[in-house]
Amino acid sequence: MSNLRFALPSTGALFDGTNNLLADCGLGIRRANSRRYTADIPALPGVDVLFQRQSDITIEIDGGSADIGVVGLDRYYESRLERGDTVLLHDGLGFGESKLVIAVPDSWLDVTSMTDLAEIALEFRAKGRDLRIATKYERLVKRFLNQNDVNYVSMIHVSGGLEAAPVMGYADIVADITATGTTLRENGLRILVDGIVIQSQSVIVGNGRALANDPEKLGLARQILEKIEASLRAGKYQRVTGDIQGETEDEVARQIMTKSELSGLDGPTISSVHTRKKNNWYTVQVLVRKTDLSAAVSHFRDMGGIGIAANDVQYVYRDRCEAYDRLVENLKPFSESGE
Amino acid sequence: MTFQYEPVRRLPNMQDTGPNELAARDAAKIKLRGVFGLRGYDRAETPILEQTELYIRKSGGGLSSRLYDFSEPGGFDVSLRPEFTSAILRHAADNGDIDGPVRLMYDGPVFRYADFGDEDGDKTRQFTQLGAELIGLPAASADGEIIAMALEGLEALGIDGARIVVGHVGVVLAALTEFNLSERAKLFLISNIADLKNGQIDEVTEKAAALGFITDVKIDDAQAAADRERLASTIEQVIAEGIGVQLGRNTGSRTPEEIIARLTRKMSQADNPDDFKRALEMLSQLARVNGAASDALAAGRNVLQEAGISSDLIGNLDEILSAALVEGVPGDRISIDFGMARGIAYYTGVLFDIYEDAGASETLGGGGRYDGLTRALGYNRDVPALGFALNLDVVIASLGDTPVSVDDLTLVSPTESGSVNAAIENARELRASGKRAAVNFQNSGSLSSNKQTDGQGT
Repeated sequence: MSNLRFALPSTGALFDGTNNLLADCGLGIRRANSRRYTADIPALPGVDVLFQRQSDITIEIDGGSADIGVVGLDRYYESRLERGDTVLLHDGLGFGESKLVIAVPDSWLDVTSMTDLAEIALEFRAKGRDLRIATKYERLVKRFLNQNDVNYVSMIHVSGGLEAAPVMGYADIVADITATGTTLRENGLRILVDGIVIQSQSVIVGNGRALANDPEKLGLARQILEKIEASLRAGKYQRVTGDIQGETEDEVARQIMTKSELSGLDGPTISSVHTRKKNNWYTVQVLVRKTDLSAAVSHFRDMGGIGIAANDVQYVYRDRCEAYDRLVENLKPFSESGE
Repeated sequence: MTFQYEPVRRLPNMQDTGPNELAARDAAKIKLRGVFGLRGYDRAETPILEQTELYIRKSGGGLSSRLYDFSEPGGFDVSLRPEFTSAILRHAADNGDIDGPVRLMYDGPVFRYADFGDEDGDKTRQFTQLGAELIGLPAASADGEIIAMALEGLEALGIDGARIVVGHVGVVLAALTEFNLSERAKLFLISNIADLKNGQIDEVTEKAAALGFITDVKIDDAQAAADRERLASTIEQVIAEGIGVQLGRNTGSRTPEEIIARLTRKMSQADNPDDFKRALEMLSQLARVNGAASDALAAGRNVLQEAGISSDLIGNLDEILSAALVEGVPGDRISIDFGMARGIAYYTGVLFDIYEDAGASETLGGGGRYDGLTRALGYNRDVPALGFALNLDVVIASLGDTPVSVDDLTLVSPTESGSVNAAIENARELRASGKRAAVNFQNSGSLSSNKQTDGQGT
């Protein structure tokens, strides 16, 4: 039996987000202690969880030493081998939202846009040196700078705390990940108005070759994707129930369905309430988007509804798992090549 | 235990070229060199590897973000060449020919990276260019010569109906100059011409507002007020206390003097938002003018007149078209597109793209005039020059499966010749008489074979 090696970020926002997401999906991780870099998922035997540095995960999956993993989209684009073995399995897990931005010292009052930066780079050049930019994302940043005519640059690779680089003097500007911009501001840095390199959030990637050629691994990956997709979708919905009086079941259904966005994914579920008196009460149950909740409650009330209640749902499955369908599509090149 | 290596795959969007394609490419090169040679063009070759600087001096982001650049063992930052023009111009200058007129042609591989999501993402990243440069002649007739020669070359290859779409950066730049805009504003407008051509004036307006060219549209008032306040107080402090301490905790690697100097310069060059908007509207109109030459010229003149600009600006384009007609280019094969955009920013005058026919979407090649490039490359004056290049891979693909004749190969069989040595001798005789011949050594041990020779096409 070949286990599915599932690489997860060992620290930071993505670590917390992944732990919470998997717990919400009923796929909680069991780890002997926080120093151990391996763990398992009791609800899904056959999955080996490997905690890795986020910056290594894509490379490990590309190289085949892990099968699937959670990474930031920015990290994936920064490190993946183009047309290599790694494919995107899920394009947005809803946490780790951030952007990679170009920021300059706040005191550079004359620099607000990439055009200004291009001029500054030329000025530096005229003085015989390159504009130095500190970043962990050399590949994405260099391309972005070149696209914006900022050509004379030296990339300074820094692995942590690069906000301090301009103060400490080993770089002139930075390109860094930020969620709110607070850390950059507190360090006297300002984001250029058109300096957004990439918008990112957490995604799942996998080794297409490994999954295409191992049905057991593919099966395990499918179960993880199904649970995550259903759980993420469930987060957007609530189940509303209420008792409504009506002539017939069809009549109640007709009234409910006058508002299509409040009639559930496929239509309301209606069942008779069996009372000793007149038997024309019906319990109506619909799934509505959270944003439509108060409208749904009003709609129930307008119909004379009582006992109205709303609950969270844990999973919402559609007829197909979109992420899995996409995965199967993405795996075609790997199985057809016969390699 | 033995380790089984995986085959090393080709890089994405890189291709091998087999005998048939190579034969077709060689044949095309020979024909084109012949046609251009008749017009006095001589061949030159430059290195595939150059200092990256050669290509980023004035190429603009469209090309510099597509460079294959890296550090070479000697410590230089280098790139595989993405185009020939800069190097050919340097070659002419280094040979004292910079004032021309010089006529040079070249061919070879060029390399341009493109992400799969990008506009050219599906194209081969290495392809073969064949082109020519005419250095030292400003006249419109030089432009006519280059346009005509590009079409002559294609005709020699059997592409009779090729169309040329002509634009003119010089006209656009001259028109923008009438609005009293800063270089920065002009550059912004030129670099957004493709979007304006597609009618996306709202998107471009929004972008211009974000960059501060237009101040009354979609601006965050609080932010703007805060910025103004901060600016005013900073300048006050600077004036009151002398330049230095108040700019913030740190100005990094730039001195406060540098920042203030550039800020002052920027503020004094700030564009009048009304002028900018009028220029944007004019350009958005002009960028959408295209079609048959005479109609488009008239429409272009109209746009300029309505914007209150002299329509004489279009005169040079008119002269170029006349020069091409004199050179024998049929008028109906030329159309005009004022919104033509180019990823390479060094063009200053006429621009053109060549298509196989009216319906084709992929260009066979293109060119244009770049009078300021010599100075950008470090020489002490502007030299008028223009050129064009064909993408030979696309040109050959558009020729279809025209069979290229390669002589049959005779395989001499050792069994039939009596011995291996005799077979080698036979093959040598055949080659001496000009025939392609090789020994079929595989047959040397097999007496059952009774084939004498095996004519086999490649």
